Amino acid sequence: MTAPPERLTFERVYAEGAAFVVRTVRRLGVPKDDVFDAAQQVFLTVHRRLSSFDGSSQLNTWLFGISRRVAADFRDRAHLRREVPTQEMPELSAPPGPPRDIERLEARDTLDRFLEALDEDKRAVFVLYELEEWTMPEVAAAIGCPVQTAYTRYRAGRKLVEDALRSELGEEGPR
Amino acid sequence: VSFNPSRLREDGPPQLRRIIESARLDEPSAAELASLSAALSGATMPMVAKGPAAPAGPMALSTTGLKVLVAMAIAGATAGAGWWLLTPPHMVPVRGPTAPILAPHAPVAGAPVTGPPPKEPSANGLVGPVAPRQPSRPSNAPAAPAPLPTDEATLLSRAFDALQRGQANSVLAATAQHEREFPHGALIEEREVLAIKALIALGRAGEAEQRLEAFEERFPRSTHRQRLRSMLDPPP
Repeated sequence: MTAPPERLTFERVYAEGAAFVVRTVRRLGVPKDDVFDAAQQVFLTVHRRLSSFDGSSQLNTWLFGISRRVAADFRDRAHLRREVPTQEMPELSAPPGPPRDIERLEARDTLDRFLEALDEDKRAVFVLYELEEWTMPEVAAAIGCPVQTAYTRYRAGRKLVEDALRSELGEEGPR
Repeated sequence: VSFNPSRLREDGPPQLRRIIESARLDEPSAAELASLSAALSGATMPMVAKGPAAPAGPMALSTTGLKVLVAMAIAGATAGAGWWLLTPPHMVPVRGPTAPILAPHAPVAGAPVTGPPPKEPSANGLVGPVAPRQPSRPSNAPAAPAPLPTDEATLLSRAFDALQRGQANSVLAATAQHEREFPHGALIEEREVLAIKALIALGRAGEAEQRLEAFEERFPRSTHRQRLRSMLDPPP
């Protein structure tokens, strides 16, 4: 006798995925001021499509797919959104949190600058593999590419990030 | 196949390792999540009321549930007891795709489907994503950018797995086979890293040194150099 299927609720998706979604849209290049609007957009999409989500797939993989598309939209529209504020979405600005580790925030900003050197594909692979520490097959599944392609993108992205660091430090690369 | 290259935070430049380590620990605060939850609660209520895109059942949003989440988040922020404040981020249960936890829902007729139909879980538990921007999948992706020969990657995956299991001789056999069959392959750098690590593991320091010197000459910018050198010449 198998247990009755557990039903996925929006609340559960939010509880399990909110921090992941916020981290992901930020790391995928959504402008700082738009991060929570983008996260909100992701969950609105989740809310709309939850019934079409197949439970045999993995929740964070699904959330990443939505987050990636939303992040791309926000990046593309960033300048326009700043010039023409929309009335469609309720205003949501991140309130100041508890005192945060300054070093951590600086590290985030520094890494964000380095990630700007990566195109969308490399950035997505880098974020999942390096920062979220998914395995490469998991990354490939989330991106929708062969493992070796994900691996190649990671290597290329990693090199660009290292080059960005050297450039920031004013160093020549090792010969 | 589990071919996972080393990560920057493991063997990258020290400055970069520090940056990545710190950036990995950066999480939204409890107050930020509470604010997001509150905004979602307000934004989704009209959608639910409007229907028809919001069928009942698991899709229907319970604002009560969200209010509970908001209350929990605020309580966590206030009392400093929220798990996201106290739990080291690497322990947060969203690292990596979550395991399949749900029974499949029956698709809703006419509902937008953003990806290919789900597949059976593979041996490592992976299943097909529902990723909208990537129409291609490994099984039907002829336009993938210059894929590496499958055999090459598979061969080195085997070598990598053997190294993980401590079977250094198997690693050397696989890397030798790679050298014969893919003299101009795309994964030569990785092959050499595996071979050098295997030689070190076998205590064949002289051969490892010789191979590492050749490696350094061939791949002067390789991110593996420093780690290999430190493995071969550990600091006193």
